[in-house]
Amino acid sequence: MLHTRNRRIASNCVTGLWLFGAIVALDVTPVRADETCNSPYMSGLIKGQEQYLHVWTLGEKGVGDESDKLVTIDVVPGSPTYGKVTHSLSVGGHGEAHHMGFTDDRKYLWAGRLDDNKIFIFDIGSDPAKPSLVKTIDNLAEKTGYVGPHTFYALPGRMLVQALSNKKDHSGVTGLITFNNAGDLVSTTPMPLTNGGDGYGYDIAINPSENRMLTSSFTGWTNYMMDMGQLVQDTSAMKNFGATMVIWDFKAMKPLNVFSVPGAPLEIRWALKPGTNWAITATALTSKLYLIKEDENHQWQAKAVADIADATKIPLPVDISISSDASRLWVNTFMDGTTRLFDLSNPEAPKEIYTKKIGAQVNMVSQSWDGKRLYFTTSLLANWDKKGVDNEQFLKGYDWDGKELKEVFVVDFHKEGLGRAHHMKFSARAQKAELQ
Amino acid sequence: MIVKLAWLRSLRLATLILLAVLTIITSAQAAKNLPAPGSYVLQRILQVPRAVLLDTSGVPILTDEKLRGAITLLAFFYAHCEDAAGCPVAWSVFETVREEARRDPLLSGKLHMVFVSIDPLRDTPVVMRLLEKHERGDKGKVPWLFLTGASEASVSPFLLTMGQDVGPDINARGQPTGAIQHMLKVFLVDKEGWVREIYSSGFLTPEAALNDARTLALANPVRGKSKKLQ
Repeated sequence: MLHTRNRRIASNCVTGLWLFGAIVALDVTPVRADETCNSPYMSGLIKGQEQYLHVWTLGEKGVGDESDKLVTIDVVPGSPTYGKVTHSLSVGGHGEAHHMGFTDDRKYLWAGRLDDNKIFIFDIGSDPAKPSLVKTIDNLAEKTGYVGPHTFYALPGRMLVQALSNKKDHSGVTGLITFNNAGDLVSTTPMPLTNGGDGYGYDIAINPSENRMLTSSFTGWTNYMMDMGQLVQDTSAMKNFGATMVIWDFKAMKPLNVFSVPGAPLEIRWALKPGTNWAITATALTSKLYLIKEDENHQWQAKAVADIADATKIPLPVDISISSDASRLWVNTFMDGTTRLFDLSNPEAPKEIYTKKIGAQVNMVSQSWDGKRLYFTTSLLANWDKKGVDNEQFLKGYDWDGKELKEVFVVDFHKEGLGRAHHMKFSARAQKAELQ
Repeated sequence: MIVKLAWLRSLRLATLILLAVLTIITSAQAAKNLPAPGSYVLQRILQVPRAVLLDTSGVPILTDEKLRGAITLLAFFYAHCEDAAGCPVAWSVFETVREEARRDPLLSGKLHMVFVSIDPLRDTPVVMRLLEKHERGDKGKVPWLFLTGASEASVSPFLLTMGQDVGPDINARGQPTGAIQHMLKVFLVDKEGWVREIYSSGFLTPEAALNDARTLALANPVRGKSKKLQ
């Protein structure tokens, strides 16, 4: 087939004025992830030093203006404002700010709120030091029937959004929503309720070269808006957590198989190393790492491959971050405020090789492409965060030398009057060109 | 222009090698497990906006009208592009798609291809005519149209609405290099002018584009030959 095609090309070769410069390094291998966790369809990979860290921050009663806000921190070592808040953009009210995602051109950052379902679109490309709000989508529930916009996953010219719940009964039955980059609704796709599907959703991860998409499952509005102390005492409510992952034909947006993954599988990460073809996730309630991989019959399977801390103590694994060479995985456990490094050399049997206490609570972790810099934030959900003195809210930056995490800066989000620090995204000025 | 063409001929061998390598690379990363054509539905992502562009004779055309009535594969390019992962990839993929489509009764005479310049100051209608002449040959069953603009300002709104980012390439001294930075995107447009798929750099393959074009043809067959583009 290739020979046939090449002969065709040879015999019908086109020449154009652009060709003289094309004989350069031909690196057109697709990048399957960006700073190890973002959509592979996103351009503008930051393989060097990130310049700004944007933190989607929950407004908190009695803290500053009490509004949700996008907080920008200078993270260039040596800069006069290194580790300092350089910009803060309040969006008004607090509606359970949660996750964010860049568009495919990395110029716009979409940020969602799980309670009032608003989606804010920030212009980051024009000036990453000073993001600006350019659009608010405030009719998600009315237009789609789904609520709780959680994951924002860039597709070419589109944004794929995973909702957590629905407006009818606020359970975990939900769907996927596709917008174009202008913020116009394109389509909705329900999560599967047949062949073992529970209809729940949480994260999205696509492997374009395989035309496969993975989704995970969490819980509905009723649970994620409930006080955690009350929730864990409610045996009925505790049954309403996702226990599945789904592998999809991405092009067709059709579920192919539903895996049993008990205990709310959350973030999904495909291995980024060329030649690898597996993904990993962590379950919040059962405290395990699950590997999603093809078996010897080329059938995709999900299987538990490691315990995370002592599951009987419910450490509550939350965010994970995979290294760009797929050899290491950082796993945060919220309840003990600890980050744990797993060796993924053998993804069938990950081994915990390092732990460090980050604070009284820790949720999100982001690492630079080279894995030398890590950033941690604290908030999980407003009603799930710890109370009193344990309700620490911070961004901490660390250097990682392969053996030890060394704290290099702290931004106390309470002292700064900001709120609860949640999702993080990087930006840098040396991005692709501005729109004309 | 004669000098340029002679120079181009001297690079024919290099071009052949380049395109072969590019095609092999892009083929190697072709999406596996694509669903059968017609077994899935492509989303209506956005409508091709109205813009006034120029054909190779310098005649103004309206994009929203020109792109109706046929399935169209559209890419933005510029003739001086030096990005090996950009325009040459699109060109190579378009070549392969055209060869496959002209032999496929489902697509022959029904698939059109369009290159739109993002560099109208240098890519005048005269330059576009040279490129189009190269592509015309006996491939009339799958016409390949080259469009440009009267000015940058005339093209910019079209690029913006289509979501095609472009901007000047700047060197370390802060000076423009003459190159144009842009993320390669190819758009598959249905006969009603809706963009139904977008392929970005690294994920553009002839197999995927053909599969989707056949899906559009099966879902909404274009009866007989579509209207002439040229």
